[in-house]
Amino acid sequence: MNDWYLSNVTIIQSCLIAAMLAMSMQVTMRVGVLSVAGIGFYGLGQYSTALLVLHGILPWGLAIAVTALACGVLAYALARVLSRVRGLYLTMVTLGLVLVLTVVASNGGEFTGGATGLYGIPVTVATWHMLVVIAVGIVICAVTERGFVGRASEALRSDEMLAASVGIEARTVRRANFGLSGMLGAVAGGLNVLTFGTVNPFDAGFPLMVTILTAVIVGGQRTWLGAVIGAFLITSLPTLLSSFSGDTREMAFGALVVVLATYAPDGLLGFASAALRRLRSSLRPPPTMAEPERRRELADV
Amino acid sequence: MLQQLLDSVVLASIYILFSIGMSLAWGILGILNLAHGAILMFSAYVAYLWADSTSASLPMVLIAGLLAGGVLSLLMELGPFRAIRHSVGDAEELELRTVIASLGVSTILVAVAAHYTGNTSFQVPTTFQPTAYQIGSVRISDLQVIIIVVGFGLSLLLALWLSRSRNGRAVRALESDVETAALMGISERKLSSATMFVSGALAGLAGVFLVIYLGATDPAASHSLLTSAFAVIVIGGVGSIGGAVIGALVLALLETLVISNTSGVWSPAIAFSFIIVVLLVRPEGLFSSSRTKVDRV
Repeated sequence: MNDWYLSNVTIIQSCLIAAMLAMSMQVTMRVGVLSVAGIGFYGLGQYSTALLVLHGILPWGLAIAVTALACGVLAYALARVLSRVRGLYLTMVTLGLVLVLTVVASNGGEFTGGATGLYGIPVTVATWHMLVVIAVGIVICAVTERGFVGRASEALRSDEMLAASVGIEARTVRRANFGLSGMLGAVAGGLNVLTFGTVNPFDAGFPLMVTILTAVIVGGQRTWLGAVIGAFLITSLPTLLSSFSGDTREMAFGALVVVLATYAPDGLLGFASAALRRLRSSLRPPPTMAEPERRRELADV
Repeated sequence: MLQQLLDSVVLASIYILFSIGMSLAWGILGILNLAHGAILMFSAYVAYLWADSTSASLPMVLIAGLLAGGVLSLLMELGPFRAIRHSVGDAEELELRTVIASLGVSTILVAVAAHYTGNTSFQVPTTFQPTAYQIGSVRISDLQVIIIVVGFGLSLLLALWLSRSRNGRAVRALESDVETAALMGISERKLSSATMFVSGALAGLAGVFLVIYLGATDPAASHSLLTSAFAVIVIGGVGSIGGAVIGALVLALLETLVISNTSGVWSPAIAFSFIIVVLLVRPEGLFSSSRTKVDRV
């Protein structure tokens, strides 16, 4: 067990970071917005944590906490500023912000280390630190997936106007989800920097967005669990299957995304839960009159 | 100054060819095709493969790129896009799923091209040698003239076709209401396939022009091109050909000015900063068409 852990520690840590990022993207998807802002905050979180630690301003734990809070507030403010921008426009604006951040970081001179980025950041994060942080993240995501907030998000996802008409504060819920997304992204960035010791302006670029989106789509975009499962699969599979690297990996992921978006938009988790539901209903006695109605409702949810 | 103006008009012509297709697919079919940039790049790559084995003339290479782009785009329509459109009714869900599927296609195309080119830049070799003419203080090549004529000419033809011809009117009917259009005997399948073919073919043409004009391109260029096209569409309004022409001119002029007056490192950020500002001020684009209503709540 211990040998296995030691030889795979890098993959495990990468999986955990990818899982945080996937959750950050899933959090905005549950209010019906495909936003890649989480990736931008991942980049911001990397630089902010790295700079705070490198210049000796804060110890690493506080550096991550401060970064996370600041990015959460910033993401909330961003959602406020962008409240008039909707749907695919919003997707493209967040995409633009991330690419602009990349340009800014690579032109930041000595402060951001320019195109080579920053390195030599003290590696202080151990796997158990990550596990604790990700557990907190999961609890927050899981709690906000249920109860009033969860139902409000779900309503917002399917029809914003209708949600607003039954008294759901559409804007507040949307902004809160954005804030959470920014926070998760920033924490993932901070952890990444303190695990691998380097930052590069192109870390948070187009390829990462595609990888994380693939993770969310593969696992299932409806719940945090889907995002986490997807992140683990997408991060660990290429390393475990050694022939499966570089461009071949990209091609396979691309094909997987096309097939899933077309035939199984809720990913592996959606697929599994549908299969489970079918199995259960086939084991049950024949439905009464009201049953098909109820089942249809469940299927819609 | 005049030279910069000319250069930006040439760049604008390429942007026009590239972004009209993306704009039409979005406006008419509700498909935001994120693979559009990859289609441009891949068509140029196909043209390169074809031109490398034969010694091809300019028209032949252009046709190769045009066909490659058209076929790729048509395949996307016949495959994932149609399946998605027929399985969901909700417009937003449809948008989201087609965007994700197109991102997948884009990943595949970029990865395939990167694999076979070794992720380096490639050219499209032709027997065509551009000749430059000096008119006053301006140098202009016959290639530039061809690009401008094709870019503006095709957009004019397409606009005329959409507004005057029977099929063009049918396409516009599809744009406003698919079901009613179907009741009037308009074949949604045929016309959406045709739209996607034309959309991709224009991107393919733009790809070959771009590579011949700039000398080379590489697979990763697809992403920044995509952002330029999006900027053009945001400025011009979704589905509007006239708007796309204006948008392309504005963007090309801005980019040319910034590149020639600064060191050029900031140029990738221009298109996007522009998009962000425009969307904040007017979320529906500067010249909005009536079709895409952005404000819903």
